[in-house]
Amino acid sequence: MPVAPEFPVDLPDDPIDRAPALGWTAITLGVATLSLALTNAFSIESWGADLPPSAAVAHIMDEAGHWRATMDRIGLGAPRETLHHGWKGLEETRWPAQQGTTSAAHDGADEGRDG
Amino acid sequence: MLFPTLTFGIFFLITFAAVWSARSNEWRKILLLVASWIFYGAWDWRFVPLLIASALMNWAVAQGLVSERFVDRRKALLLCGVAINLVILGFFKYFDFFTEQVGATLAAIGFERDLPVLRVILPIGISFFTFQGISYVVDVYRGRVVPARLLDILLLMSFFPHLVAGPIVRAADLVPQFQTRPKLDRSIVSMALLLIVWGLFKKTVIASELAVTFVDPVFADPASHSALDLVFAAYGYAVQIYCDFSAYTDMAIGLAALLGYRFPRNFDQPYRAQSLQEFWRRWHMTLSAWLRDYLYIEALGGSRGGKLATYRNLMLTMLLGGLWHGANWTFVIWGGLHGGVLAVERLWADIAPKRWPPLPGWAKLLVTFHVVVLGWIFFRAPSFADAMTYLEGIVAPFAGASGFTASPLIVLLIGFGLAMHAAPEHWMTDVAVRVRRFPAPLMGVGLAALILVIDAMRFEGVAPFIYYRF
Repeated sequence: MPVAPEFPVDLPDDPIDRAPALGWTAITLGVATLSLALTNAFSIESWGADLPPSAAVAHIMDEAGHWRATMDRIGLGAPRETLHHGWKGLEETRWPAQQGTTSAAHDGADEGRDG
Repeated sequence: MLFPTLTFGIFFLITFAAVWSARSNEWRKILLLVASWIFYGAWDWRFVPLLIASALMNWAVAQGLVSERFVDRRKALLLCGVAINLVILGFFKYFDFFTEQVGATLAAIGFERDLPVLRVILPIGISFFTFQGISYVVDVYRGRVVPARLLDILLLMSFFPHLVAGPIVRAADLVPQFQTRPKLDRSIVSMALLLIVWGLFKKTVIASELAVTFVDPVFADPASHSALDLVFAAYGYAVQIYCDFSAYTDMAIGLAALLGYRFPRNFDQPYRAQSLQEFWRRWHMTLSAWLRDYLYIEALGGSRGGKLATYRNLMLTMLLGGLWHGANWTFVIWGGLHGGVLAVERLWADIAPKRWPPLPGWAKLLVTFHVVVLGWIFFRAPSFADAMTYLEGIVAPFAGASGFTASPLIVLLIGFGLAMHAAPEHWMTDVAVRVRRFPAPLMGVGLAALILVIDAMRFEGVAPFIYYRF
């Protein structure tokens, strides 16, 4: 029978846990949110495109488009773009025997996916 | 509102800020309750009253159980409470299924009738919150928990991290945590963030990629795939469903922890189990514990009636556990397979000659894993006939079906999904112990970097979690 803690978030005691951690958590989440807003503007734009159309959403999409263009211009979108292209390359890799004979199922699955 | 979306991220950050700004514990719970109803209502507002009514009913039954002194009346009240929960579940989940079965049976014996099929919409999470309600009234009846206040019961059943796909959190685990304003410490937050990121990776990278590019196409048309494809797609589904469902519960546990509450573990590397009994101690642990405590032991009598009764009770428990997953014969067969093998394991333990050497651990693991994979074929197939076609294609490959359509990435992901079961059991705890000492800005940048990498790898769009439909 596996021996596992009843609650996964229970860690061994440490003196660091005696201090309140709400501020530490808020800063962590704030820094993470800001960093992602700077480096992952693509996802903000994609999110706007998936929202039900309305005047407010059109405004959000405009702003998200400007934001993404600005982040791309200063190079902050480059790490995600490079990683994404690398991953897409891995997705498209085939075994030697599969070259040119990719199944229809795969072709269908690949449709509608962005590059 | 799915966890791995920006919409949910914004919703959660607003909820987090509001809840931790609340001056009193009562206001904090009210805010959480409203947030939970917004979360549920984002899917379909019409079912929020059902959720509230279910909580009110269970609260009222529990109040009645403590105020009633006569044993017979208490028992009648308990049965009434359990029955109402089951009627709610039965109507939404099984009405059309049983109507169709009755119609088919009448037609078979020459009494064909047009029976009403209502096309009932299944409220998401109904299987989870009704089971939670049943366990609450049974626990109050047995004196295992004291009746909770209305606000606590409403929040217990509506709390958004576990609302739609578990884990099944019992009143004894969560209600005591509602009594005082929780405190955050770095250990809880570090582990919570790791669980959320790990869940995000398992769902959006592994489960989604496997499902869309390989498993779904093979299961949709098994007759045009080779035996090798079919075997790999079955392994792929085993990895997909683990990465999908365990991802949901990892994220649920992490999100609840960021709000100050601890949820029980729900998965523990299930594919390293060396028997089916051990598998169920590692897979969907809160459901298997629920089935054991309230169905196998409480309702059926467990092993109290002798060996034959034990085997029968194991089978019945798993058959009903299968039916809990959905109104389809494939789930019943899946449950029956698990129940049958559990009974055989128990029988073998009773009759196996003591001098026989036990199977080596790796052999037991392989046998157990393949029994589980066989069950997943029925679980995943749209119908019994489709499952049989799938199995036929493995045993006797179809004419013209040849080749291997899984890409190297798919093979890599299946291998990785299985290899993660060989990782040290507490690897994430060990990582959390290290990162809790990081300064907040470093922690924030590290968190963002991990999410960025996952987002760059994720499959476009987010499919609903498999267990949303249960």
